[in-house]
Amino acid sequence: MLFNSIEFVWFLPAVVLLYYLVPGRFRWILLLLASYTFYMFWKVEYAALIAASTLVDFFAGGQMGRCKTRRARLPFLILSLGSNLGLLFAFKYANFFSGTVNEFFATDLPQLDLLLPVGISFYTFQTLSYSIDVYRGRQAAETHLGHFAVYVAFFPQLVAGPIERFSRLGPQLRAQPAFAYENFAHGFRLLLYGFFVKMVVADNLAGFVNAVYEAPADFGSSTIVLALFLYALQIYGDFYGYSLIAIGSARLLGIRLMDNFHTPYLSVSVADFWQRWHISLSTWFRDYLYIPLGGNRVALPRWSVNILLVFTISGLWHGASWTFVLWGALWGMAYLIEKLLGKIIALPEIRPWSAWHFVHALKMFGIATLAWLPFRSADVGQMKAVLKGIRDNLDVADDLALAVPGFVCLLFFLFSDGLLYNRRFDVWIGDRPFWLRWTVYAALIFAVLVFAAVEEFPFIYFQF
Amino acid sequence: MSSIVQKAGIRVVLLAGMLLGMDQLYRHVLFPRDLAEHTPIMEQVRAARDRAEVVYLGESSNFTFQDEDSDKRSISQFAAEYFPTQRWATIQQGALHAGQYRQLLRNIPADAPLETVVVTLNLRSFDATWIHSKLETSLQKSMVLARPGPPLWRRFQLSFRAFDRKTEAERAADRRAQWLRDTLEYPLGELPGRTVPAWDSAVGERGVPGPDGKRSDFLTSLATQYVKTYAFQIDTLTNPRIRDFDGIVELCRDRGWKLVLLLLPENVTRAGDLVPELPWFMRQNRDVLVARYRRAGAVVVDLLELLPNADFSDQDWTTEHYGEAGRKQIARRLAEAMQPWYPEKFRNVVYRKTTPRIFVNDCEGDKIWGQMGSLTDGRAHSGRKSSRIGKDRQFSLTFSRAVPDLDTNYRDSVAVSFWLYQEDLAHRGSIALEAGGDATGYLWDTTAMHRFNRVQNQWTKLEARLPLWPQLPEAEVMKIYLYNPSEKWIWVDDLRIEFLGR
Repeated sequence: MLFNSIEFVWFLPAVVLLYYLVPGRFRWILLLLASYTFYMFWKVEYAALIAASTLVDFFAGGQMGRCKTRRARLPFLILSLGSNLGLLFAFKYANFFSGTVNEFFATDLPQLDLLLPVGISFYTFQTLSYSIDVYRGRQAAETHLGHFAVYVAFFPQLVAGPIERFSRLGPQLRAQPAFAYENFAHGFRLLLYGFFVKMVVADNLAGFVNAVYEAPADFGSSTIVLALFLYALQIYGDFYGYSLIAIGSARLLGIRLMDNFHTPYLSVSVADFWQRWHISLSTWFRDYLYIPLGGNRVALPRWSVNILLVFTISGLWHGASWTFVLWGALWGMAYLIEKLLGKIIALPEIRPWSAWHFVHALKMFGIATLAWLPFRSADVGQMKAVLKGIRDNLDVADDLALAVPGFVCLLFFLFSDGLLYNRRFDVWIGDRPFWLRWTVYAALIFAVLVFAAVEEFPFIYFQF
Repeated sequence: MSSIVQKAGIRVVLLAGMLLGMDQLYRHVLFPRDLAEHTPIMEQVRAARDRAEVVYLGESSNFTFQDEDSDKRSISQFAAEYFPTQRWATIQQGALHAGQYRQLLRNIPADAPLETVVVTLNLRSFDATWIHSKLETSLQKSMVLARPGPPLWRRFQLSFRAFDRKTEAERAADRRAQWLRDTLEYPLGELPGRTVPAWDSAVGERGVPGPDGKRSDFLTSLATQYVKTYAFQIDTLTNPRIRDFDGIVELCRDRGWKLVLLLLPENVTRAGDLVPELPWFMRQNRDVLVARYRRAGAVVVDLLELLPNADFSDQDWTTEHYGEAGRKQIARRLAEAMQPWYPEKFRNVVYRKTTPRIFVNDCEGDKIWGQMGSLTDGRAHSGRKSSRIGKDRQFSLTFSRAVPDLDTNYRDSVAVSFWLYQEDLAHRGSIALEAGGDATGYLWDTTAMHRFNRVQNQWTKLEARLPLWPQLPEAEVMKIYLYNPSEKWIWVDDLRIEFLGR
């Protein structure tokens, strides 16, 4: 079920209403049913994968909980890692792997005819974090299968995060929050702003961006460059909007999910960017890959390799394609260059809203835009076609009218992110006077109802 | 708790007030623009609502014409000619069906001047292919703003996609499931298959012979298409079109409108030639519909078998697209059915028999001419394809016509035009005129293209007026094509042939 669909518009209030009507001890049943219903709108069969992942990790977690030493827990960790990564490999990477082998070694490995289950990368990473935490002894094993199943399948964040840790989400699911006006106020604000950013901003950019990427030869160089910049805004609006709707939906149920974005295009460095963009994934890689590889405590060459490795795997996490590998590697190199330059040239401290802040924000927006090129391209061929279009189509006429919605969106993000710098919309608006608050609500409601794109553009991150 | 209720109450009232204001703002400022953009058919509905006495609702059968037609008017325009003092309006869009007709008609209130509603009863719209058509999602989307309710509510439904929006894959799966579910009952013998997939594959395996007696892939493929389209038996309890047409009957009854259901001609002759058992199913379905809706009080004009094969535009597909003569016949039958209601307004129309003299082909493969194998999608002036000649394929797409079928007043000369792309001027391309028969023997004239055009590496238009032979009237067949007996390829596109008189 898509958030920006009529089904969700009825589904969410129904679940929220029932949630507060059902006695607290039975709420997990409601949430579990709701979550599986939500997921089965895509494909009923793939709910079995979540169920299987849940059972294996619950079993593995339970067994690890009974073991006193890490050594004794290790087989169960391997079971959890093996089953989750095996699923991920089978559904997401097997064809990429066999295709690559076939191409390089002229073999004839078969291609599987499997549809990628929505959100598989997200929920497998979520359950993996639980298993690893139990293995490390940082998390007690969950003893209630129902609660654990809700943790794995909790519908607001099931298909595209935020990727939550059990230590944060588990206790909230177990708690039985009473109805609180504050939760509703925050929840509705987040939903409203999320719908606006996704349906009005991102989706209205998507048509233009898609058209350019599909046939770059038909567009002038400056139009193609404009499309690259607008994609940077589109994907931000798309994923940021999704995350706000997810967080807002959970908040209506009295559950607080972690933030996924903190005005990323106002970041001043690569490191800063990755502390503001898809935060739940960045912290996952930090905690479960980067730090186990040695973190900052290893020698420079090893550290450089680790950084490249983490970013490249992060790219591969997004999709089974060389374009994603390239995207990750580009970010890894940018990160390394920035850190190594920082050792040579001591940069002054950048104060928020100083001239330097703007210069660095522009630089970061440029880097991000460039990196989105392989990310958005369906394959290397399309990426090359876009670059070729920029180089060769200087004499193709540009339609400046196409740029207008783009500039409107750019101004919107400059304005809104400027206002919201390091703050979330629901908190910021909550501090405004009543008249201003409701004027903003009215404008957002009207925009969502009337200016939402009519074409269906699924959330970009649902494909991961 | 009471303070929360009070707080929430104030906000709910405020929100309701805001929504009412927004609806007014949207209704007057942005709704007309949205309607024009997303539901342009509402403009036709508005015109029908405001002034029409008769409204004709149809799909592409109404407005599709052949390039050769000398009168390209639609069925409804021809029919309206029989009632010159009556105000007719047409609501038409490709692939529309009863579900949408019903929805659109609801927008015409009972106090509108409307008296009679004519709705095309398209047999094919009852089959699984159309019910689960891939066009359905975009059609459903285009109808959201035509629904009842405040404009802001309708736009909300559009924004949140509150319509049947299955993907193409889902619709294909539904179609296949229905084909497998519906078993066919045929009392006159044994069918090659009891379900559409089984029958389809049996026809495909058996093959359909061409004129030379050998299996023709073209005819076999066409036969399987006919099976997929017409091998069904309407279940009046479950077929969604029945529900929609029932709704139309009910709506017309409630609003005091007379209703004519125009059961459109299908190519029964062709169906029988390709798959002998099929016409039985077509007639059975026709009988079900005619009986049901006559019983319900509608006038059903049964034209299922009105037209011969030659009146159907698409010879390589199953459609209700008719040539000029076919559209005129349908219009006449419709007018005759309505005549008893409006005897004073009816005026007989007699059309002079016309013979087409202009023939065009855009080389996209939709129109069957000779030498279809010359079509290639490597290069095109318009669309995606052109006719490529040279090397081992010397003849372009070829126009061919029996000479008696050409208008006797226009046999003096022929104007040939087409778009040409030549990479190398060393080709030997020419325009060829060919005719023959027992009385005339073989006639053949060529005119070199170089006489008219020497532009390289770009599409340029070539126009030539060429005299025809004085003895042409005695010939049996006339052919016009482009001929290139050289090793250099040339490409031609958008051919137009016009026969001219003195």
